[in-house]
Amino acid sequence: MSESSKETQDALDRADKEAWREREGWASPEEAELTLSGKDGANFEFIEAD
Amino acid sequence: MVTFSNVEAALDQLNQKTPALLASSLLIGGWCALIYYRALAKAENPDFPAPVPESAERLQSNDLDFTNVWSGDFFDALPDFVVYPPKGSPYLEIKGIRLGFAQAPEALDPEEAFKKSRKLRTQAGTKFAILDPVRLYRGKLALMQKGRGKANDPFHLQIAATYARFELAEGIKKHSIKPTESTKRRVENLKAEMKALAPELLKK
Repeated sequence: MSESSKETQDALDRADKEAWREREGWASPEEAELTLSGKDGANFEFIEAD
Repeated sequence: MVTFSNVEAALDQLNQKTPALLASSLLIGGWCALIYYRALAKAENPDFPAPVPESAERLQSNDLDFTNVWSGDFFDALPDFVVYPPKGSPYLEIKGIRLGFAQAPEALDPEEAFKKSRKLRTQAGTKFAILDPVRLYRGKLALMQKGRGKANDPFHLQIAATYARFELAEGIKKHSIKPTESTKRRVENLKAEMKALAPELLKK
C-alpha cells in the first residue's frame, strides 16, 4: 500500500472513529478519575531498557 | 465503566488470542500519555510532578490505537470481536475497548518508532510496546498545530514533555550513581533523540 493510500485509509478510519467517539466513546469524569488516581487496580511495569 | 483495568484486560486478552500481532504492535495516542501520567504520579518526584488536567471532561476515550501493524490482520485473527454498529464501519472491541489502527500516524515512522518504543508488562505478564514520550510529544504537537487536536491534547502534551524530561533526569541520576557503558549509552541516546526531535524539551 502506498503512503498516500495509507493516509487516505487513516483519514477514513479517523473520521469513522471520531463519529463513534462522539456517540459513545468518551469516558465519564468518574472513569477518568479512577484512571488518574490509580485506584482501579491496573498496573503496568516498565521493562528496563538497555 | 471503562478504566485502566479494561485496558490491561484488553492487552492480556490480545496476548492470549494473537500474541504475535500484539508483539509487533505499537500502542500510540492518549493511553500512552495516561500510562506516562501514572508513572509520574507513582514516582512522586517534586521536580517532575504529574500534570493536573484542566477538566475531567473528555480526558480519556474508550479506544486503543495501534500502529506498525495492519488492521486487516487483527480483523482476521479476531473474528469473534468484530462489532457491526448500526452506524459507521465495523470495528474490533475487546473488554469494552475499541481497537483502532493507524498506518501512517502523524509525524511518525512506525517502524522506527517501534524500535525506539518503551516496553511494559501487565500484572499478568503481557508484554507490549508504547510510543516513546518524545515522539508522543511531537505527534500531539503536530496535531495541535494542524488544528486537528482534541480537548485533551494539551494535557497529553504536557505529560509527554514532563515524562521525557523525567526519564532523562532519571537516566543521568542512575549513571552518576553507578556509571556503566549501558547507563552512559542510555543517557546519550535519550539526549540525542530529544535534540533531534524536540530540542525545546532540553531547555529549562
